[in-house]
Amino acid sequence: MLEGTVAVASGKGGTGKTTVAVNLAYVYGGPITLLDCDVEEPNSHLFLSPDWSGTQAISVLNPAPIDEVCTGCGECRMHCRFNAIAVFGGRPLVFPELCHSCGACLLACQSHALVEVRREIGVLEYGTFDRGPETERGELIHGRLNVGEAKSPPLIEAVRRRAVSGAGAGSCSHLTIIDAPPGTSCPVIATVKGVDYVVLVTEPTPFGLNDLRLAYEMAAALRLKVGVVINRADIGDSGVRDFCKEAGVPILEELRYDPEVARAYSRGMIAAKALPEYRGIFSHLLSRIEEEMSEQ
Amino acid sequence: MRQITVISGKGGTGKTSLVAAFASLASPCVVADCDVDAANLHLILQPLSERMEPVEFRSGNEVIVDPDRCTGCGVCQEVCRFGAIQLCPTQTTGPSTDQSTDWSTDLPTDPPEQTQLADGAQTVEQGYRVAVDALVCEGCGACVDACPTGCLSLREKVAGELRAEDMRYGVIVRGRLGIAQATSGKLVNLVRTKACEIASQIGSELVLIDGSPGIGCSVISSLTGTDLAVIVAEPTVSGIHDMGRAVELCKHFSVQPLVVVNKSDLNPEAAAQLVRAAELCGATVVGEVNYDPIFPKAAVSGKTVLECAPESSAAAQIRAIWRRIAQLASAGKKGAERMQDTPIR
Repeated sequence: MLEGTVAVASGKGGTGKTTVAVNLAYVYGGPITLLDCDVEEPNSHLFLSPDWSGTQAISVLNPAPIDEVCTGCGECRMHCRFNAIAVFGGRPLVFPELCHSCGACLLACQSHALVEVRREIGVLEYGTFDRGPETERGELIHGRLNVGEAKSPPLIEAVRRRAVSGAGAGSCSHLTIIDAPPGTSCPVIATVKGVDYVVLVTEPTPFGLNDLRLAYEMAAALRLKVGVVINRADIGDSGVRDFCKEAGVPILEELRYDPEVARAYSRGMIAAKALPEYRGIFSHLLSRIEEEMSEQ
Repeated sequence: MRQITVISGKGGTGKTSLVAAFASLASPCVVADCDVDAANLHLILQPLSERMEPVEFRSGNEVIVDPDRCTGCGVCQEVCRFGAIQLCPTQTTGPSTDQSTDWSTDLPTDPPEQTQLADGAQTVEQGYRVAVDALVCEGCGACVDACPTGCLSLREKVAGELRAEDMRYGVIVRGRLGIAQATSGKLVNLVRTKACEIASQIGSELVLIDGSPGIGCSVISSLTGTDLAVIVAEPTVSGIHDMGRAVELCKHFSVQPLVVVNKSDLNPEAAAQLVRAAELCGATVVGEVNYDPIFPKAAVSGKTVLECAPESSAAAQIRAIWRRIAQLASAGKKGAERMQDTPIR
């Protein structure tokens, strides 16, 4: 049975990442954890309808000066490479939205005049979801970034750390599926680094192809194994298929456009639950992933 | 001159297709593709010629290591909060030893051993050198500041590029962020600044900004200071949820949110829910567009929906929506300014 950590990503938004992640988690026979790392717009819970067990506020550290001790020397400002500290009236003024919590300012301060304060950026929520009468419940962990917060990686990292320390870790057969955000920059890097396999979901259009190339380059830069799922495979052109052939990327599955699936999706229903033939399709995808992961 | 930002919250709602259609109606205009992670607009708008040499986007730092000055003390690794530094074993001149060290976990507490060989030659037996993982390094410089030998330094890196090109409806300015790069918000700001500059040069009344999915830093940079936001939403459970967060984001940054319901006939019940939800959270719904297979076909052939199917009902709906958006954009100006300007078409 498939084990390890599989991330479902794409370059382009709206290709079907959440659909694939949620359905794989639903049909997998063993203990499962689904991590929804699209913390800006988490959607998996809308389909899985979990019983939430708990929530945890996630914060980052930002520096704050101790007025009585600060000499106004400005070393903190000079060592901040993110322009997150200005000095006004001889006192440091911190711009938390620019701060990367790196600690360089604290290292630079000769007067021990900086402390770090926690600032909440979002929440982590966890619970379990039903997978039918024959199968044990799955675990869902997601993050929800506070609206107005710019940086999602610290929350994504918290979600991933929770998975490692959570209930499912250590079971003899355990699969973690990660629903990634769209794009190719730091939120996606934080989501997929160190996973065992990346499934890139795409669509056979010039948009899909353009963004698939970028996502593939990103996965290659991280030295991750990649397979492709082509969604709405019958609407579009052959560009994506040609690219996969050229680049030697396995096409794991081609899903035809199905108005029934689109309708189920629009209602927040899991395709494999609402339309029985999709149970077989997603089980097949699981075995394709297992096949590819075991290949050298 | 007005700026209109088009976002979606959820990806794949049809934002880019609609922006291309709006550009054709507002022509000549300047379009800023601020989806710098995965820019797509040029695939429809098809740049004809460059207005300027592509400009390197320099942002963020990378760490340069001078291996000859590194003593393997490991202070850099201690201060790095991002796990970007590893100490790697190196073998330098001299006979090989059968010492093996688990370099991933152990820090040497003493300097590398010096062995006196029979012939009097000295050689470093086993040492450690710093390796920086560029994909994880945030360029903060804490390691540089902490290093006692000065073997580390920072260098600004090229994180992407900026292009400005003529296209059939005016000008497209677009940014491309390098693989695994950060500071997308900064690149978005640059794209917008260049777009506004060019709009002044060519006398265009409008900068149309194509934002990225989500609500994070590049979306925020696409929204701050814009005149209007248009949220392209889809009638699905996910679409309603994500639209809500996108509206909240607009209000957080004091930008008036408008909502377009795209693919509205795919689920009329959900479309009605979406409209109700939008109005409840304070957004103005400016219209609905039916699903039409012409959308993917148009994208495949590098055309706008209005070029591919000008008589379709979707095309008529898009034109009506744009008229409404343009009206609201002009109406947003103060009276004195309105007197002086020509309206956006």
